[in-house]
Amino acid sequence: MTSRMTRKTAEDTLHKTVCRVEGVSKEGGECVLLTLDAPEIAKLAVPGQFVMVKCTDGACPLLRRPISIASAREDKIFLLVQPVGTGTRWLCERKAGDSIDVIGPLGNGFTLPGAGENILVSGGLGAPPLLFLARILADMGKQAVSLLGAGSSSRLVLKNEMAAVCKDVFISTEDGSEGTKGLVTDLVSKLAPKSTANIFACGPLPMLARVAEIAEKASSCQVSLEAKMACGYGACMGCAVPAANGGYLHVCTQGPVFPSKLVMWRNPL
Amino acid sequence: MSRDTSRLKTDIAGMNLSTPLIAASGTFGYGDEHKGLCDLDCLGAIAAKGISLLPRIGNLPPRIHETPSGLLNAIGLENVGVEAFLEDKLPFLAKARPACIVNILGESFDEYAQLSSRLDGIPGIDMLEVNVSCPNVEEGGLSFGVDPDLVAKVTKTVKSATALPVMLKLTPMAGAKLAETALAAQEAGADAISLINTIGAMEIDIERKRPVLGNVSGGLSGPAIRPVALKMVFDVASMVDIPVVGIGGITSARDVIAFLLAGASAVQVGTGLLIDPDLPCTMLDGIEDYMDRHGIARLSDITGALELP
Repeated sequence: MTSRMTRKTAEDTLHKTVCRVEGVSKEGGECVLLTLDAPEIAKLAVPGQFVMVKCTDGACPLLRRPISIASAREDKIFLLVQPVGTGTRWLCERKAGDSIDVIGPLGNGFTLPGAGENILVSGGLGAPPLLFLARILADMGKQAVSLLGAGSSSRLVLKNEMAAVCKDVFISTEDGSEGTKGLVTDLVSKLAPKSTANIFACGPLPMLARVAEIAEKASSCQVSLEAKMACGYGACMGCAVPAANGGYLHVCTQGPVFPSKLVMWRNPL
Repeated sequence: MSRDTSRLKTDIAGMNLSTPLIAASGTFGYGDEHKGLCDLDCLGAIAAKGISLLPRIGNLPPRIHETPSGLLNAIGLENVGVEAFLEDKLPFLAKARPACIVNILGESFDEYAQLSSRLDGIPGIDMLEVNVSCPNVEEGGLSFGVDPDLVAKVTKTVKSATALPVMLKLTPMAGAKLAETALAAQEAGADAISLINTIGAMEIDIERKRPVLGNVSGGLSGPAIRPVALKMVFDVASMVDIPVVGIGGITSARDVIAFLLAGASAVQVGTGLLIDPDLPCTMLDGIEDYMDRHGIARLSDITGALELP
């Protein structure tokens, strides 16, 4: 039977807090792992949830950016940020002692598995919520296998952190510079998930679509989706993605974690 | 709230507001999404997410895109429909301290009529705000709001179906006819006017050679449109006698005061709320500070107090 941990829903209280940057460390792909002192959010956060982060001291960029919680421990939350635009570049330039305005924890986390093998599949920047999940699984005495995919060795993130809490870590790179050459979805196929496997995936949409396809035989497959959003808590309705049974799902309040069967994978956006 | 808001009170067409700040429709959901992020007592009213007769699923994503100081959106008026609104959403809004403005939208006069009469006499609703930016399916899909005659007809349709005060939300897409649409609404019996709705806009991803929005184009909001909105509010407020509610990129107390000086009796805060749900409380501090510094006893003394050269 599937045990549900304290799965956070939109019913829970949200916090807006200006928190202190406690630490900054470099990761692959020019990413930065920020440690923030955010006790209210850290206390409530579960794997799969995210925060909305203001990426400026002034008024530009205008909107907050949604960022996955890469872990929460005691009073701290960890965020992995890749400098892709003005906002994320600003975040990556923060130093210990700086302040960041954060709203969270937002969205619904992964439903924790009962029995069976746990396979965590991350592509590109998909690793953060899965690291949080791997740590919680380890705390619960459950084993997990982590599949990490990236374009090249230099762009792999959170590899050592994953290795510290997973039974095995398998790596794939598109250029073959580390691990198996190819896509992380090839690793999933090779592993040939059994009907008892629980699959958790986060990464680019085409990757998730392929994982969902391979995982049809698995006992469960949960995917964490990304979408542009203005608020993060269900007010703007901006973060819609097509649902399998017609209509739309809202990534912020109904996700970002969804059972893969709920998502319309044909014609991914 | 410990704040003494008595001097922040205002009145729009008989609707009492404890503060001049209204959450703009479409940016504050149905009021209960914020879960502790916003002290609702700082808001004078909440304009609920626009409601249609039947539920609408909204537009193909992507639905939003950030532009310099702006938010481009094409949500597609996604909403739960009037029956689910009354059943599931109104109870929270009716109980909350801010006044409740129900924003309505339709694609035909008949839809506006049915909606208005369905909402008439329901306890907890203080005002209807009429979105006239929707395409009029009976007349070639042109927005009702760009034609003064259609605005007058929608206003009359709604007014004759409800005893609630009616506020017409004007669209800047009326362009040179904006003031005419305001006068048409007033003459047709509107109790108040709110403006501006978003400005038609688009953006293109040049690498993919595709529009960034699934709907191709959308509406622009945020600080990028504020000076445009301010002039439109100024122009309209100087022509009509009914109260005007200013909308458009308002993100600070300074902005609120500017719209009041231009002639607005209250303002709506939209995009700014999406970013900072606690913005209304910060704004009230700034408004009170301004009133202190300028020796202003009542908020209504700011409305239209602009000194022209």
